[in-house]
Amino acid sequence: MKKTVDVSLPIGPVHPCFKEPARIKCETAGERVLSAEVELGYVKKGIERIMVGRPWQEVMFLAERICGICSVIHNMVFIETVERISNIDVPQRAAYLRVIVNELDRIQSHLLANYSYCYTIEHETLAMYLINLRETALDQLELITGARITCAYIIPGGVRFDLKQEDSLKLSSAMDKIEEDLSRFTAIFEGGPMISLRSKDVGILTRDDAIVSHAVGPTARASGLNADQRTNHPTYQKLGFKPVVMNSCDNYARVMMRFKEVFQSIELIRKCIKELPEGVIRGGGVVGEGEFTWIGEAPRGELTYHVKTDKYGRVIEIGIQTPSIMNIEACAHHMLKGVDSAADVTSTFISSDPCIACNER
Amino acid sequence: MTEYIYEKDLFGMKYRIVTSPIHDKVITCLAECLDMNIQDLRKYLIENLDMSFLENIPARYNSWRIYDAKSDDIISSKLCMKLFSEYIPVLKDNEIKEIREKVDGMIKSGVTQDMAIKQGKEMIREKFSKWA
Repeated sequence: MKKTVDVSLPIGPVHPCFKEPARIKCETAGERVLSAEVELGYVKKGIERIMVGRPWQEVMFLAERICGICSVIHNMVFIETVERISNIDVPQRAAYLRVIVNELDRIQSHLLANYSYCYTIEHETLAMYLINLRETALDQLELITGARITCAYIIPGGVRFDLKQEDSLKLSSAMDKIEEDLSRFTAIFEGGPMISLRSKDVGILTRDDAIVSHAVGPTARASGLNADQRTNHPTYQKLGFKPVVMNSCDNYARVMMRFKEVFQSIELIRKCIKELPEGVIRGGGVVGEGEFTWIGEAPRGELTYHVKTDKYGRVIEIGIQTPSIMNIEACAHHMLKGVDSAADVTSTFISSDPCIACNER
Repeated sequence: MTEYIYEKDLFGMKYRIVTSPIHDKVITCLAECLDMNIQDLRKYLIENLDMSFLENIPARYNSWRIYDAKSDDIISSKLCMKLFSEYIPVLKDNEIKEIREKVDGMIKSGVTQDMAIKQGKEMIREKFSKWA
């Protein structure tokens, strides 16, 4: 059969726009992308296999090392799965503190994702503003948990450290700063004519395609899907959480979705500080035998942990499904198809916030 | 897709993906659904899908299950037609349409539905075995 392909265009595994190694193979006619494939496997960790046979105390630390950008949610979902296996209750104060830390993690992850996008479309000024603002969120994580990335803050039956009164004041003022600065940066993004040219109607993921490929997180919500696991989480339900949904399905929508979610996270943190219940932060409990599957909402979408433990609390089986698996696949087979220029391939790929570390767990 | 010389040996990496704990459960379900040898199905999937697609098989299978629960078409459901043509597109639309027409034809000619579905599964297995 006659091939209609002009060029087979490989991008990566090492590319200035990619934070982590991935290889995109595009078949193009002119500059128009006809189809794309993503090949991975450059940094495979085999962490699921390493976890098997180890006690939960070790697996807890391994879980947050799956991804350096969303380590808190890996810690949180693993611990919540273990708690459900062993019927361990969490004190209300600890549950609220978990939300604060998780939302701070979401803020820094979304700011990093949007930094990467702005950098990819050559808007370095806005990119540098955003990466600088991310430091404020990381500082707050350090203030509460004692570490910026691998915090190991959440433990079965509670959290490790309480939030002091003076720290909550610092956190509130940091939220004010992030909100004020981000309002300005969002206005730059919304009003930039060159940003619109590079982002609007580029990398379309239709609602139907998002359903078929099981896209998750901001990628799915920017395509009109009301899919957010926080709506199923008891603490978020108490806080009256409602997901943000957009319908324009393009790169612009995905980036704007993350900006909007940062504002939403700021509101959630403020609400948690205001309504933070008094009491203990650790309820105690013993991890026992059982099997459970629990889903949490990572910054990039649904994060699933299937854990089976023995009577000593050792992990004997574990399966982890990270959100980037779904989003990278949706990007490769739906968003990149029909993209008009090779330059838009990288920006579209980055707009789906791909995390190779999560994918190569 | 164009194959590059240094990409000829992706089989090992792809095999690790399809044998992960979550994939193992889903591919076992798929193999049982088609009464097919799991190793043959793994090989077929590895040869026809890229790494990102292989990683996403469990999520796509769940999407299909949600769709299938709402569907009234029993024959399509039992033959996993939508699954193999749209959600995990390893068969072409015309191939799956041809199988469906043959199954419908058998039922019209008096063959029981169960037997016709069994024959349909055999036809799908034949398509897979051309590669395996």
